[in-house]
Amino acid sequence: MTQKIALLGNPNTGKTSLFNRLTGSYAHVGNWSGVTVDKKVGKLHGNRGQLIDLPGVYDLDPLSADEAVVARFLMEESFDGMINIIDASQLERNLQLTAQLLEIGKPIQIGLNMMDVARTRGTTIDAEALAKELGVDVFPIVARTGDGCEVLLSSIPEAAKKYTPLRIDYGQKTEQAITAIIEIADLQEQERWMAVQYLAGNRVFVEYLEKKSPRIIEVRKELERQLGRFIHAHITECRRNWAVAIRAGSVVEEKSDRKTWTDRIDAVVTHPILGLPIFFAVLYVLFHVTFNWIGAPLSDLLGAFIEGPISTGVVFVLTQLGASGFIQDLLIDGVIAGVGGVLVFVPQIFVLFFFISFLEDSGYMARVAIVMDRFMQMVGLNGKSFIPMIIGFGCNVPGIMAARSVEEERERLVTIFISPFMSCSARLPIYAVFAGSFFASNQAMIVLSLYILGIVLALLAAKVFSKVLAAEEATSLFLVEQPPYRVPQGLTLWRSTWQKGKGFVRKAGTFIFGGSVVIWLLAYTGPGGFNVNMNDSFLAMIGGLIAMLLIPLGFGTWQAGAALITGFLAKEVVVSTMAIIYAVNESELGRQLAGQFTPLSAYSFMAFVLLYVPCLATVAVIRREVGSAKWTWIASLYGLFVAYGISFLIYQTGHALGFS
Amino acid sequence: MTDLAMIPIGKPVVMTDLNKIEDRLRRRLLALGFYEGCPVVVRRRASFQGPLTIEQRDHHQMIAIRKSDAKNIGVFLP
Repeated sequence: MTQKIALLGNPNTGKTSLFNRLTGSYAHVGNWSGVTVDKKVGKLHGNRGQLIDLPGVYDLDPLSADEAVVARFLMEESFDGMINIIDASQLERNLQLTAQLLEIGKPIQIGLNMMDVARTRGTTIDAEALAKELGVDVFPIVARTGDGCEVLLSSIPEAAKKYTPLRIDYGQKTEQAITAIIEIADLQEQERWMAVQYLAGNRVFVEYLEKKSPRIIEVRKELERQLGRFIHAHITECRRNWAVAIRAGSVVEEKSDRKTWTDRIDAVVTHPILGLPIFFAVLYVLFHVTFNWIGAPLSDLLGAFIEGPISTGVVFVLTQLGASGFIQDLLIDGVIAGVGGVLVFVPQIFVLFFFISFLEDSGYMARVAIVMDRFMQMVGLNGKSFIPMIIGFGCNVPGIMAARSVEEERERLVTIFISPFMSCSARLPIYAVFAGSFFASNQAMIVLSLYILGIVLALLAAKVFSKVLAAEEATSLFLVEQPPYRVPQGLTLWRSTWQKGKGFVRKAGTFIFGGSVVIWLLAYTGPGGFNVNMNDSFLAMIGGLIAMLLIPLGFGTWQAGAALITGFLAKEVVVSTMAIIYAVNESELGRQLAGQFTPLSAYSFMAFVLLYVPCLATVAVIRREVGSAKWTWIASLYGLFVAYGISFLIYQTGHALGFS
Repeated sequence: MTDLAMIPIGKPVVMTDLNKIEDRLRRRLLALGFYEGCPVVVRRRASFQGPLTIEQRDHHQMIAIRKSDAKNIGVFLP
């Protein structure tokens, strides 16, 4: 039998860690609120059914797009049970959500996570007493290491026991209103929780129930008048009183007021003056290590391996097999040059992803939101928008999805529109090739300057988009939970690094492989037949179409034009194309380029690649998240004009100033 | 009675008025355990009039909110 179990809880309580433990999946985890923005389905170990990982919510009443996923799921889909993860260090707050889940009346199990954090704060929870108070099973777990998860898994009930929904007494007036709504909206007795959610103003239920029976609006208004305060404030208070009573029966508290590590670190990284410089220093160190210290030497080793043993090996095997010259050229000049040219950057990209995972898992992201909020506000955005932007440094696709945690719709859209300017890892190979050959002594600085160029232009673009999309009374919501810092765990870090990095490797095997073959064929053939001089090939004709336009930017060659066109598939393909065109391996490529580019035109080219168009995968995710063809077109194409303008400025100003 | 934005860092106060802030912010504050009558303390202030980090003293819940919103939250100095 396949039963469906939903995983619910407050944000950042370790739901996804538990999901990964229980299903053997490797979904993305982090230490900030809003890591999971969509529901994910996994198969439970031991064929126990399906587990559905839902975005974290503080309350079933959704304030943002990702939170609405939860309320919709509970209302519309059928499921057999729930696992509710509770952060033991924030018991009372977590229990307010638990109350709402217990009201639903489905079988529920509670995983009590982060007992260790609670203990350092002087709070000890008696899990058995808590279970007795709540009337459901409670399992102490450590989701990050997996302790206790097995027990939780093995006790997922096989058949649905009959659970009676929790009934909190909301006071006479509210109870009367609940009864009235159940009657008017024709709800079942076990759907009482929907009436409660409705009265609390849960947007999803308001929309659903008021459409069904508009008369209930009167009941809600009347109750608000009688209570003389916001109904949701009253309902929350009743739930809080319930939670306080539960807590009193299950928690031993000792007052401890010692300074925690989190306080000490926060005193530095969110320091009024040092906060911002520290943030940029963190970014600089990240790039310096990625490029100069770890990534580059490893990439060189891998490059030497591909050029040396692998290439010679393939040539040897091919000659032994008596392969035709065509096949030999295709494999060596096409596939190995194209795919190998990109694969050598795998170490750099993994190092970058490792650092991004580290930042996500440590809790620093929530601080970045504070440090950046003022600046983001100036351009009509929100400090929270900066988290998706940093994720975008890894890959724009998850960055754009992470924008769902930005509550205000206009801010979410603007965050999506500017995300493609965040320099993703696929652009790294291009920088590595160009910066490596033209700016060898200060690579990290040059690359950092491109990242900053991207950020600055993104902010300017945000300003423009905010103006265009300005709604009547769009008030921005900024409330960011500041979780305690934690030292990221080795295994978790490795998993999320691998999770992000494997996409890059997979792309090399599919898109870039296919692209390389096609590009090589286009370069090999021409109107004059096969094995033509490359300058007379189809590829040269295609690239030549736009080469004219690129002259003012400093790189008006058909080679650059062809690389840019094919780069729409995936940005790494720019490097593959160049490796194929110049029929050289990656380390040779730099020397070849020296003949065609100057440092100035190289910089102009890098800036153009950074900005010109989002890759195919990014366009697809923009389409899905924005839901409008018109805005997808705009978001995908405005970069082209920005790129042209900026590269023009860089090249022409640089030229006028006497740089070459 | 004064507002949260005026309170010096480290001074324990009690939240008394959440009526003047925007609805969604109030809902989120309530869900995070900040209510009228709860004890809070300002922990940090970001530069350039940036967000305040405040802590719910009963359960050490830390959140950041904007200064402009903090101005609309009434507090009482015990």
